[in-house]
Amino acid sequence: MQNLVSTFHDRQLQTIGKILAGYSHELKNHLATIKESNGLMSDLLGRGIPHASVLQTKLLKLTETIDKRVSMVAAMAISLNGFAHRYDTPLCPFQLNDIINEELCFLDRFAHLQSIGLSISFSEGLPMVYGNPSLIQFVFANLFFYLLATLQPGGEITVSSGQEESFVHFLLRPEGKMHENRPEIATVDHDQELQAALKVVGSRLAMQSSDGTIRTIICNIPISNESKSK
Amino acid sequence: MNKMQILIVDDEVEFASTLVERLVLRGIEARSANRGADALVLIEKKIPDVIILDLKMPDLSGLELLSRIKSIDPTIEVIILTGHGSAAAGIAGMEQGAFDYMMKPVDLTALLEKIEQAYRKRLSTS
Repeated sequence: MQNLVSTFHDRQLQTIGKILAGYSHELKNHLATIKESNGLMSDLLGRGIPHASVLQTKLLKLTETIDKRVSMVAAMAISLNGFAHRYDTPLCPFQLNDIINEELCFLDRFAHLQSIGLSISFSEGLPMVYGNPSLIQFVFANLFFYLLATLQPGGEITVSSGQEESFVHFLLRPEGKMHENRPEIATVDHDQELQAALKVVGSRLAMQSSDGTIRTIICNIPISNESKSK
Repeated sequence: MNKMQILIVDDEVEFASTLVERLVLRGIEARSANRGADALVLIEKKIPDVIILDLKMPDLSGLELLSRIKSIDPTIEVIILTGHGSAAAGIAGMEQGAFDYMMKPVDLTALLEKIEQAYRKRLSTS
């Protein structure tokens, strides 16, 4: 098992680095907007606008912007906190929807920058899973990045979840035009690090394709995976 | 004497519009675009002296846009304003002809100083 873990350890760090770099970039954007809004309020108050109602309207709009951005940063901090805690307790009970949702907070930005939409449809009432949520997040992120590399701007990725017998699953469905020079589906099968991570968490992928185009990727995760994860 | 013309290109709508307003309050003629394609339209309409350019945008990357700007008028000075944590992206921009790069959130006094330097260079070369 240790050999398998060493196979994907570097890649897992690389994935975390990519996600957190994107996250901190987004955070700085929010802080920049807060700083400029605050600066403009200070400018306006310092110069004094003759029409008090105009000043009041502008200031109210700026305080709304600051309030909204602070809320967004707070939500990002909550997701970051949850994401970080996945690593200090590798084996624990978790809700699949929660860990996917948490990670989508970070991955959404990558889709946005490629003008690719996200559609999320989680099944309610999924059972808790016992296993390694950080590895499931690693697998999810890499499949998501793979689909981003295949889709042209204007496309969409649907993310959903569900349960079948003793497995829960997440499903990724790309829609829209694909790049002509997109990575082949076999890329996922031949991805040794990804396959090693799937083995450690006892999960398996089911991919459907037609005409060389990927239609869905389903990742099945055993609800109780205590023995394999240890 | 003509007023300095600034164009801010950033997909963060509120950031760009607020910065425009702060520059206008300081007597600078400033406009903003939130997409690379819109920026190109504004540049064709009226050539700015200095462009403040974000690197990450959905339709065109900042570096692609920088190259398009320089092909329209190589004397337009571009200051890259990035949320990147490392200097690598900014340096890549300077290698493609950007005047300089700064990191977000930026201090307005420092940005104004950089704009002034870029404008002086533009006047000396155009």
